Amino acid sequence: MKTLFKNFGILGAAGIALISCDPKIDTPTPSVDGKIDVSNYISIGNSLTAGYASNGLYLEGQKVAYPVLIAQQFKLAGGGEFNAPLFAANESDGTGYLRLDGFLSATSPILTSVPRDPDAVAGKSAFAYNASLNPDSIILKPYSGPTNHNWGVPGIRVADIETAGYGYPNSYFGRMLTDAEKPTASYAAKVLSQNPTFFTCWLGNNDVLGYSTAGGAELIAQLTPEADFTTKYKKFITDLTNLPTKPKGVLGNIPDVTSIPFFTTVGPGIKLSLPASVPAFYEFKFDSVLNKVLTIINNPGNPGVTILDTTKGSPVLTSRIASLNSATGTFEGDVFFTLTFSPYAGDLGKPKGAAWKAIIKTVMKQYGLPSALEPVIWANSGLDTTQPFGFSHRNPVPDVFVLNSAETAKARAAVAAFNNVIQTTATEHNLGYVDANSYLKSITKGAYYDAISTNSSFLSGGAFSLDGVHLTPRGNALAANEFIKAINAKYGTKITVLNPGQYRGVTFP
Amino acid sequence: MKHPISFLACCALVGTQAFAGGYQVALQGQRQIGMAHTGVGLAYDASSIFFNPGGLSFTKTNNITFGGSIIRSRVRYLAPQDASAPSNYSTMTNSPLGTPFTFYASYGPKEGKLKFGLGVYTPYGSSVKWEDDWKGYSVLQELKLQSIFIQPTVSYKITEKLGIGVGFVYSIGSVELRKGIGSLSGADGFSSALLKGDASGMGFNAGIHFQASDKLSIGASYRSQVDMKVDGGDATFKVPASSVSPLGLFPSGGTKFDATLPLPATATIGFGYKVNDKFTLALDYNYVFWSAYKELKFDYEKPVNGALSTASPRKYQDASIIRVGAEYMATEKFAVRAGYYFDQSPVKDGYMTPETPDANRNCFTLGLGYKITDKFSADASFLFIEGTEREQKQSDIDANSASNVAGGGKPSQDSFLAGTYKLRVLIPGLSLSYRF
Repeated sequence: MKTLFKNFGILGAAGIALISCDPKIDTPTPSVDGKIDVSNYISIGNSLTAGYASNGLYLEGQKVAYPVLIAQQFKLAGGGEFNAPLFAANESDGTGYLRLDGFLSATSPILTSVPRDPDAVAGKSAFAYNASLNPDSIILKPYSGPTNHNWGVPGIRVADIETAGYGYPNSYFGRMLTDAEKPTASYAAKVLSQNPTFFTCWLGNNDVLGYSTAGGAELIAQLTPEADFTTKYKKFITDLTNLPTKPKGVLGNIPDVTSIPFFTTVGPGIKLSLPASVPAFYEFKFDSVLNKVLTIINNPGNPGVTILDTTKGSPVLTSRIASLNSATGTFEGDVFFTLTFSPYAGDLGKPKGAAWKAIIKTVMKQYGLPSALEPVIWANSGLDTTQPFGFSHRNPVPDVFVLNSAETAKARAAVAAFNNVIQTTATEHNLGYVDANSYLKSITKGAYYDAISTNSSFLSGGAFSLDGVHLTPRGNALAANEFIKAINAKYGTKITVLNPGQYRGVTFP
Repeated sequence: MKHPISFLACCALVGTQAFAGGYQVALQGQRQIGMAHTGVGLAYDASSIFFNPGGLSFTKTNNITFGGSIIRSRVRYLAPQDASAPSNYSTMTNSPLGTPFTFYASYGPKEGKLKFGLGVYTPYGSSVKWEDDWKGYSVLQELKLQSIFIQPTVSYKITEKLGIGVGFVYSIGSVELRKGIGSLSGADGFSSALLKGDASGMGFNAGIHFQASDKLSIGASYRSQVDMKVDGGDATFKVPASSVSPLGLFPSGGTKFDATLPLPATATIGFGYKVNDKFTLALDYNYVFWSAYKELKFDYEKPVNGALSTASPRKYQDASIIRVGAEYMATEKFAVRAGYYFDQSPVKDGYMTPETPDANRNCFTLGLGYKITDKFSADASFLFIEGTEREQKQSDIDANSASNVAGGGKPSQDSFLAGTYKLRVLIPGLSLSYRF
């Protein structure tokens, strides 16, 4: 018996010894391989770079902004500290944001506005007004943490980067500056003064996006002229690469704005629901509304003008509304409805005026008109909301909700021209290039990351937040990976990528 | 919104194939395990009920044997690597220990030609547990599969050289599968689904034993396919409330599901050769009809993501196993054993799942036997399984998915995770036998 136990004992001991040897696979070590210097990495860009999401800039979004994720991967490869200009813990709601609170029905989400954090606000200034970015003219409290590395400024266009005192109209930039810097600092100068050793630059989206999300209403936002874009972009990148630190970096291009859920969500449903007897709907172009509104303000008793010249309602062909071709996986068509039109999409064909009511309220707010003027404006509007909405030129769809064929063509031409500038600049300065435009098209077609389906569907697609323009944490991880790939491809580094599936999409209640 | 919110493609539930090549770990007799789990060509004892019912009538005594093993299985995973997108993400399963067991009893008149037997054993079973938030959580978080085969058997010695036998198999078992739903984030994190059900199935095990000479014996056996049917299992979902109502993506309170998991047929030919009184060699060749496993399909009573069923392709291929083992009687009472077998993976490129990240395996065995008395003996074994490192390429997954779509199916990228997998399994075991 003794021998028996002894021998079984040996077998058992051998077994225990083997248990400690788990299977192993050679795992790469993250490394910049001496090819780039990421000790002082800064990120240059707009709202996407800032971590803006769901219509607001707030702490949770800032923490997962793609540059923050890139810096996290740099750090594994020996990178330095990277500080984003985070809202303090007591300011965590930031400028406020949208939250998905439920669904009225399977197809209508309840999006609640989380109010801006009072602790994040220093005051108000007429200088700070911006219809889409900052309609309440808010001045944000200055950022007071350690040296900022994330220079993502929501709303900034290439057109704005040389503007001295830009911190006043754009409080997102203003909060990154000291009071002394505010009157004179331009974005470009401030960024250059950081002397980065490495940078990512994803600018230019807003030079097209503002015009597009305003439905091509040039009264609200214009495309940046190509010459202006070219001059400022090239000068900025030249100055950047000529800094004494000789920074290396990558440039991101501009995605086709019409591939984001903001434009692809509402239209296809409208296209399906419009009866065959309605081959076209009416859109109203805003062209000269401003002057007419001013006339009314000046002569409230008897302005003698009709704001909307409804005889000019322009027919838009239903057949051109863009929708997904399931065979090719691409959006075909060149008429887009904005996500902001979704509350009114069901009004089409009905005697309703809710869309116009909202527009008039917005215009009145923008020009600070007393509410007493509202009936005057209505009376002089030329609208007849007893007519079927959209189907009659007396009750057309407001300009701001529709990007029609001509406007789409203009926006796409601008994207192509600007991307050409970005790509040639990257080549001229031997920088990396992120083709965000092609990448976003692959998302539109649908892709899988970590075995999770990701596409540009609103809410369920995973990559886009509740505003249909900006990214979810998962979208930021995907963007970070695209930048990292471009860096590795350009410089031969071994920066490791993130697992996008470990970041959330839209949070469902 | 006019836009219909569709999760159809996002979070189709896919299942598992737990009992696959990898987890069809052969552990049906301690003496045989020590010799690479050969035994179809040898008539040892009541364990012939499993190995070859034809050989049971050649066993010299009546016999009761009871044994068990402890499986410690680990799978290492490394995220896919690309020149411009390397990843240092690596993780390992932390699966609980598996404890398969065997019980065999045989009885027949001492000098008779007929033997009866009863076998209760666990030929398939698995326990795989990944971290809840690992990279592939949307494919699988945890899987537990258990099956117990109950096999009454009769064996008849037609001549002094030829015996046949057949057993009827009734199988009971259970399956429990938990996976994340990465496309649906809630306030408490990612959603998940749990499928849990009892399964049963039937089959048979038949064999023939031929004593060619004093030294050489030959056996052939055929174990039939057993379709393990889950009838009325429970599918429950940990998902945000809004996805249940009003979105209706998931049924309130969960739903019932049916599924069938084919445990494939195995045909074996085995040889036993007694070199001398002390030294025995054995060789077995298994052919496993894995091609029966084409897809894993779940049928739901109420729609899940708008569908009453989900199917994930598996498209296994038949696979072979070659086993060689030896036993040496060191003393009258002591036997030492060793063996090696090569287990070919039934999983084609691009079809590896985290349930069975299967690859060709090299398996090494050691064993000891000790005759405590004339009637009692004890056997111990140690099995070491080393899976070859296997890379699953995203391009293979995509190509397979495209062919699935072309065949009228759905994209299947949600069932597979690219990356490199490596398996290592350690299995000690022990049994006691009583002869009468």
